Amino acid sequence: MITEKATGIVTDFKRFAVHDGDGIRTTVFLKGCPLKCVWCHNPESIGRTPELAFYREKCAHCGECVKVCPSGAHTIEDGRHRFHREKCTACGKCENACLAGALKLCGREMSIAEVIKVVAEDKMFYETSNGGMTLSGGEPTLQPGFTLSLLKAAKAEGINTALDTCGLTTREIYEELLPFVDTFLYDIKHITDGGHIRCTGHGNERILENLRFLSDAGARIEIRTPLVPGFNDDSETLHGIGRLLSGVNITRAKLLPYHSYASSKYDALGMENTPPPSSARTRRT
Amino acid sequence: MLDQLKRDIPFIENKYHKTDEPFNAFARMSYHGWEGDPSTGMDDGELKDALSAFADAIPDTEHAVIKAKLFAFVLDHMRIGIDEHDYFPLLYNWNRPLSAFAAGRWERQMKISDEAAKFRAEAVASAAINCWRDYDHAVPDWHALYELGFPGIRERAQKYRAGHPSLSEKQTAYFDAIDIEYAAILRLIARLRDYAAGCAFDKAERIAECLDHLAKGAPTTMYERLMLIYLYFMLSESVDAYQVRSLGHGLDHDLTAPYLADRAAGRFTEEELASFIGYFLMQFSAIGNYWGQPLYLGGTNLDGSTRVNELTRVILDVYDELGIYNPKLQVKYSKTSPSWYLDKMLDMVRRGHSSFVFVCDDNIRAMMTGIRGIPKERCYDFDVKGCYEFAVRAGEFSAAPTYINLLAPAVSALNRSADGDAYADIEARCLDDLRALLDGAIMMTNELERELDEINPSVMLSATITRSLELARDAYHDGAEYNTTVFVVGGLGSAVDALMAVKYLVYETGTVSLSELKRVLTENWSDGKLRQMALTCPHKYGCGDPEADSLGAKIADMVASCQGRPNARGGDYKVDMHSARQFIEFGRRMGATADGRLAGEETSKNGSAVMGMDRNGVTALIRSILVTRPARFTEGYGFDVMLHETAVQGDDGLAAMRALLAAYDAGGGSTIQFNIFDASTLRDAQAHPEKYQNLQVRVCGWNTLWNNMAKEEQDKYIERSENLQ
Ligand code: SF4
Ligand code: SF4
Repeated sequence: MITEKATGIVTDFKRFAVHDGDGIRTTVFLKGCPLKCVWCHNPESIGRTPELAFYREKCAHCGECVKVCPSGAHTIEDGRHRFHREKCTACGKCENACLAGALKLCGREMSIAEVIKVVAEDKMFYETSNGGMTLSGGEPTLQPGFTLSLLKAAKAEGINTALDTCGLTTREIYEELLPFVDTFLYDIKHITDGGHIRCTGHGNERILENLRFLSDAGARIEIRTPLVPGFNDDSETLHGIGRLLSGVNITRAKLLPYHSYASSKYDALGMENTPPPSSARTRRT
Repeated sequence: MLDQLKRDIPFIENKYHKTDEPFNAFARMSYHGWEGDPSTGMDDGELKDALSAFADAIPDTEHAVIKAKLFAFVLDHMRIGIDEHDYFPLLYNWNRPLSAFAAGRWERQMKISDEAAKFRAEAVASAAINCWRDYDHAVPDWHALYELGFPGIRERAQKYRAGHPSLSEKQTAYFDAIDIEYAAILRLIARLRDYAAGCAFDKAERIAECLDHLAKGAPTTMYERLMLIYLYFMLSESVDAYQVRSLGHGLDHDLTAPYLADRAAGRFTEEELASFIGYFLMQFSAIGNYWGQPLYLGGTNLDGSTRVNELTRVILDVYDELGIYNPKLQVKYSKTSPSWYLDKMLDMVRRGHSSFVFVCDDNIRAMMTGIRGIPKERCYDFDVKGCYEFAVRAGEFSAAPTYINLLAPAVSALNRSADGDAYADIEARCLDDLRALLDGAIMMTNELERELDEINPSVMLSATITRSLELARDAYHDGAEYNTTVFVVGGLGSAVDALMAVKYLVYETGTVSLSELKRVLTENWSDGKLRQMALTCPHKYGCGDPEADSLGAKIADMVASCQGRPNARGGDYKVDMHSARQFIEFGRRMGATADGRLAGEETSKNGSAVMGMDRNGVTALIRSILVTRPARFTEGYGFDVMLHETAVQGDDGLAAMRALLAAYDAGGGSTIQFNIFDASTLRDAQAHPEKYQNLQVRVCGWNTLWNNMAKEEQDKYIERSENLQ
């Protein structure tokens, strides 16, 4: 039984999201992900708690952040700014002080009402497009109570809901979310357990089981497969995915092209990047 | 489909100016491409000398008659040409040769009162307004022209003349002038016909036959209608000195009957008919008018059914195949428009065709009946007569003499305020100053317009307008059902942002005192950090911010209240949220402003947000715009949206564009134009991020704001965009 939660950690919003389900949508990115996909373009969504991204190349070394940080995480030494991530408590005070836009707080605690207020602003566009709210991440089911409350609140507002999920959660959680999700955007990243481990650090047994469960339960499912050179773009894997999908009820399947745009984000978050070798094959595929 | 035309395009492109020589689209009529046949008429220098001598010899009389005689002289001595590469003739002397002896001279003789002159001088000096007499843009009654032809228009005027029991001297001159001009037009057409008849190439026979019909009566085929439109356009624009602001009352609607008849009778094949349309459109592309030659499509019948039909599709297909962006198309869409129509155009838009303006047909018709009180049967088929402007078909002529800069009152309000004043005082002063500016502008504009018909009598135009003939009064002055005057207003986004930044910097955050801010502004933002704060102020117009939007609505209310106030031509004022190119001119003359704008930089355009300040994306921008209620702006409301090409890719992208249009329409929109960006724009966006804060790009399945990406990501994105091309 999921215990509903009144607040959760939100990484970001994306308005006019036109590729995250039907119509024009507002995508709410919830923080935290159980996988570590080698190609992840959203590394700020992986950790479960707020964190500060520091875009070094934008820094003007002005020292404004030093003045506001209560933890001494910013220093200026020999006229150059240094960020000491280990001291940062992600309070967010320095983000607005930095006029150069070098600091961005990824993730903040928000209430259901705050999130729904943002989402509801674009209601007029949902109405003309059959759009609505998409919960994405990270993996929304890592914040199951908040996710359930958000979905219920959106439905109460008459807003269509989509859940972008990697499939790695418990069947019970899906069972409880199901009545409040209009469309599942379900990721299938690899067909074999080994392949999946290599791509994401986790096997896919539970993911496939959950897919079958949702399909049997009559959920509306859209499959999304990010196509990553050297990991899942070989014809054997793609045919395997095709065979799998022929056995479940889905509305459509989409291949998402891989890109390697996120490397500076890894750097800004002090994370190690693990990019796939090249994107040359993606184009061919 | 257009094989022959495609072979001819390189020649037509060189018809009006030579494509390998420098060209300034603002002075397009100063050029020549084809030389025509020198034996048929004069070159420009000869014509000018001869016209000068002729003008000197005309006895001083009513201006309309003088103008008509000059017009006839030009037509009779005009050099002409017919070419094997074109179905439309060349009229060589096209640089308004008679203006120097007519409108140009007569305007200098007009005086305005000292009070009006003083207001004008001060308001222009403070960049609050720009103004000049506007006496040259309108749409004739095309339907009368199709029905009667040039000979019939002349005969109809003669009948009206005979029907008037008594005529004043001026009214006599009005009819004399029409007769002189239309007789000259018929002589010119006969001359063109005879010339074509003497040519040996393939197209000549068809051209001669077409001109023969037009010399004798009404057009009978689609090609003849196109020829009539072309001749009227060329003679009005370049000799009679009246810009023709739409080619037909909906070109698709106007050509449908003859198109179907030609096809049914086997006169022309579908390919031939399409190619006539192609040759016609190419003329306007080749002329290269800098503001784009307007032409509209679509619309709704009185019974609510759509006017979009198979010919609409033919025109769009031809336009698409030619890949031209001039003429620019205003397309009326409504709930009854077929889905292929929007999809076809939106698809062209996302392939880089940004010369479409989408017009919310239902809202404009509701505005005309509701706000202007025009009967439904007079406005269901309204004209779109410029970039955005709306008018009652064949019944309304508006002059647009005065441009208003909304940023100016925001500046004067700040200048009149001092430390200790509350923010509400400053906002109230801004609205007071705006009210005073609008009142003064009406007083001054009324004087400017008092004698428009003495400056440039609209002879060709008036002859097509029934009401003008009934009254024997100039249609562009006071002889139409609706003789309107337009305030062309821009800078809304800048004005809102400037006041909001004062509020934020001085009152909300207490970062700076009012006097200190004023000092920094006189020094063109000597405090860079403060300017950065102004630029990142959370209350920007165009972001869906309730405070900024409500101020935008208050300013818009004040502007809209000018609607319906009486003008000097027996009509009333209309409002147009549209800055044409004045946002550059006003900006150039203004010092730094509190919104973060540096001295000399452009102001915001139309009713749009300041370039790049609509940071919350397109949906928030549309919401902000709708708060100002665009469709109540009776003349028009320009609104541009920028999207990256990847945001609109695929079926989802097309559906999203359709949904944006539908939402804008449902929310009370007026017109909307899309800009889709490519790699070169992205490079500019990288160099000038402040200008592109609303630019969205699609990244691996979703869209993101360009400026949220780090430089390295942007580089890759640019590389990718280049690869995609
Ligand atoms: S987020 Fe807070 S703790 Fe972290 S660096 Fe900024 S001000 Fe300091
Ligand atoms: S405030 Fe921003 S620009 Fe200034 S030193 Fe800190 S991170 Fe760098």
